[in-house]
Amino acid sequence: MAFNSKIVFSHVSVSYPAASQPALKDFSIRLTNKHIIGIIGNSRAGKTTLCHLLAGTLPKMVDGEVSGHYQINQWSPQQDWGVYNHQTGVVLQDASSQLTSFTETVADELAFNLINRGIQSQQIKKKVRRVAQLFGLTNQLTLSPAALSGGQKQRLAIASVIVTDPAILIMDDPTSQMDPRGRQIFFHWLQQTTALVFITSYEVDALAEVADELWLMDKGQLVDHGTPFAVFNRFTSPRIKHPVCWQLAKKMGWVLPTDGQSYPVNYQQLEEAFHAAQDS
Amino acid sequence: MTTLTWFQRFDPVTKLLLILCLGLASFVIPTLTINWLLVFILFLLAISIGKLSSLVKILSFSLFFIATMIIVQGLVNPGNHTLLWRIEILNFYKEGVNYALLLGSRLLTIVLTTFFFIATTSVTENARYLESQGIAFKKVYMFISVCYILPQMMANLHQIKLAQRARGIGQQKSWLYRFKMLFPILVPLVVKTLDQAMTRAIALQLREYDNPQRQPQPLIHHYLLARFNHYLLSILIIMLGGMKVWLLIQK
Repeated sequence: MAFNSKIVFSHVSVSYPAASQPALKDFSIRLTNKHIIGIIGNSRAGKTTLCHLLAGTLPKMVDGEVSGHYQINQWSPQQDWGVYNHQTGVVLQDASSQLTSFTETVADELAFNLINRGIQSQQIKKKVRRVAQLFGLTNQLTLSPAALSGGQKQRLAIASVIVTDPAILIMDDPTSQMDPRGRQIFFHWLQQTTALVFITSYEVDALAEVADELWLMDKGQLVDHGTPFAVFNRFTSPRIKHPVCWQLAKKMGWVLPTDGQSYPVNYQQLEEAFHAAQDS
Repeated sequence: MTTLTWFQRFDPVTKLLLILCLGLASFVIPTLTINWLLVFILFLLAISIGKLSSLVKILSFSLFFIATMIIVQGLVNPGNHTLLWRIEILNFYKEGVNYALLLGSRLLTIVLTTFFFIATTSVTENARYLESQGIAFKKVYMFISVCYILPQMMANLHQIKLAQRARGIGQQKSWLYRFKMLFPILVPLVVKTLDQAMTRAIALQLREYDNPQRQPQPLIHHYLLARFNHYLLSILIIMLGGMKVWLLIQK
């Protein structure tokens, strides 16, 4: 399915006050028709800064000096913040701090964004039930958000953001505290969503399955980008983990028949490489 | 349908005005007996809420503080001249002890009324009520987030203590040792709490908490005589304030 999106970054740099090095250096990229963009890199690579830029919180709420031009679809996150924010859903790195802290139940927390938009209570109830079901929170609806585990809080933070059906989703390491089942639910949902998604994560296996574009960052710079297949087969740095499929195939010498030298990065490709190896 | 307890029938503003009114009354009334009678009534009210373990914790800290005041004032108050009792070489005087008891009764009045408010009013109830009174949600949030800082800090402290114990630090039972262990974590504790408050403020803006389309939510309970209570308590507060000023002029 062709996805209608436009992402433009032109020589964007970000410096925080009192920091000796810029957090983002000369970041440039121009893409169209992408759906899920995975952002990977080690600590201090500039992933969170990029998320703040994409969310429009930098420099509006987070103190920092931004230079260059960037645009997502028809909006500039900096100049059209009000309209842009209405179209976006943002999941921050610290999920528990993202929750309001003054809602008594999980249902109230999920309803918060909808109440803010003046939506009718019947519709709110319907939407809350739907997202609770999507993220396995139906049994927790009457509980206090404070009583949830770290992973459940992350699921709640995501659910409370997607309840408004945003057109653009920005997620900063949203699965860091989730259990394997929670991650599975999340990445399965991610594939189904119709929003343009920017997601930073250390879950390279899952990103290789769902992302159609990967941005590899290091020390504030975009060092590579392309499909997960292209990116994982290009870089060789031991500092960044490759997907398990890629590692296994490399050990076994299972290359993809298309070019005879690249390794698979997801299960579908692994199967293909395995059969090719069996046939030869 | 669940039956409301007596304290759920009163709205948050009535409870806040009650704190102010009783606090002011204890400062206006100079009689020790009446002040302690007020404390006794408030103590009964606090017991009726049912959160006894929290009440005991708060009272034990306050009583320790009052005991210290009685010792210091009983020994060294400048107005001391009537000997009350003697322990070895220490002479305790009536004037100082009475003064400490009066201060103690005032402290307990404030502590018990505040406990009553916190234990009977949830953050959600408070926010909804203030918003229903026409206060913009942004302002309500700012007010509530200030109230939320201390519990948040306590939760963070608890987390740090658990982490310390897991690493074998802070196992000793001694109060002095535990007190000493607090100092190195004070700065990170404050920084972490402020960082969380900032993240929450960003998240709330992203979640459009200041959207003009926001509608106030229905109240959690139906409150008894809210407007009448506000007027009555406001009049009482003005009268008590007037009395205090008059007493100061009379001096």
